[in-house]
Amino acid sequence: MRRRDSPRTDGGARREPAAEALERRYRRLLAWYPRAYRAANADDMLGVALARSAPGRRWPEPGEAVNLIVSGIGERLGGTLRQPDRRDTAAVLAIAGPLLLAAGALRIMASPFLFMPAIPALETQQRMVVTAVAFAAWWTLVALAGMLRWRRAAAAGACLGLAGQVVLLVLAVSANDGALMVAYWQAAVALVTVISALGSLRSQGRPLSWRAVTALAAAPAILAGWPAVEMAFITYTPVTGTSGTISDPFWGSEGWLGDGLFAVALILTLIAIATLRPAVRRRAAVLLLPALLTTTLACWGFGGFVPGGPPIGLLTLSPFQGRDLALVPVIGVVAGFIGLQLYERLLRRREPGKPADAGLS
Amino acid sequence: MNEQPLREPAFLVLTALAGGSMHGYALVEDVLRLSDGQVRLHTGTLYGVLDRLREAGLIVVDREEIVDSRLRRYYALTDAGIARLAAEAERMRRNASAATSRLRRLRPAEGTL
Repeated sequence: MRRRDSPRTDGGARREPAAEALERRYRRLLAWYPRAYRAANADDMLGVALARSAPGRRWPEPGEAVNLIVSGIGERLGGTLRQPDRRDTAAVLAIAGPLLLAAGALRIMASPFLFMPAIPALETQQRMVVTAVAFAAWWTLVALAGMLRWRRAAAAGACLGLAGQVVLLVLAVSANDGALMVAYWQAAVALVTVISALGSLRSQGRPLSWRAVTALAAAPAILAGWPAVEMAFITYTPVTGTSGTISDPFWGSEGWLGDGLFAVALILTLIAIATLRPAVRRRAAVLLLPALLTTTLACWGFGGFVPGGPPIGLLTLSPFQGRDLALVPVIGVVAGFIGLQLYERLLRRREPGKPADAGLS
Repeated sequence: MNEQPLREPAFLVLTALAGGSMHGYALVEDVLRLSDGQVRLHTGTLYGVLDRLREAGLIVVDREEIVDSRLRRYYALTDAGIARLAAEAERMRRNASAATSRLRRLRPAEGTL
């Protein structure tokens, strides 16, 4: 079939007419656009594309083909962000993401890893601390730029931050499984942050108050500071001269403190979300709910992992654990975006008189 | 969109529509003519521009026709579009005038311009 469609082949009885072949190929190119957009515009666009083409042509011009693909992808990415409520939701994520990443970097400094004198890798520890401070400061600045509505600065900062996280990810490939997984999670959050920051470029308002952003910053900060606090609460009771029992109020049957800190962090996040205006709040909740659920489950399942850094970095993950931890961010992001699409569809059904959001009004 | 200067394709589309309502391919042809053959809009670019202009309230869909069993949509300027085009043309006229004035002063000294 492919050979028969080739422009080099001479015309024959079985050969599809040029106009039909060209239309079919243009329709295939238009498939890069979202379905809703195609339903409204494909016929009109097809007419223009065909009229632009030279008579007898069987294949779209390369420039036209590339333009349709790029525009279609752009429509898929940007078209959904045309509505002010969606742009403001992206602006919220563009602030929440850097705060989470800053807390993730800070956690390395709070890690019990640094309080373990038995570990001789002092140079590595120092390097880790310097990197952590640099990343925490950078992501805090990105969040601040988002709050001050310096959208372009925030987007540029997020892009540079993502580049840095990718470098850390590459460096972590040679490290242990835990460190690699931490770097992978952080790169995933950084990627969502970049997309959100780019999506919020044309956002006009400030969807997050300073009070709300304080609550939002406090939530990951609690999780980040956890290991340092944990060290103060761990008690060792010697049973014999060489053995004893460790009591840790953060984990296991005595894990009331850990559960409590999780609850506080969750309540602070919910408070921050509750302060958003309703249209943004609902979208933020739909987007963040899967991430919160999957992350919470991972936190409980893999103690000490989230939001980043040792102690799990010292451990070797089983293939099963590695696969699960690799899937969690993917599931969180995909489920969030699918949830948002479903929510938007529900809104359109409820308000049939309202024009579709994909720039079709 | 109201605060920033229009990009060339958007300006040319508005200029084309100032001559009356047009469908997509007529716009491509008119923009090519208006730009002395410099700007030939790709289909994806054209519809991106049309979407943004509609979103900004500068153009509307005037009517739809079925031609060769295919939908053909005509676009027209709104009052806001006319005002915006006039403002943009005036801004460009001022810029062009400033450039021409400077070039006139430069010409004797350069001797080549």
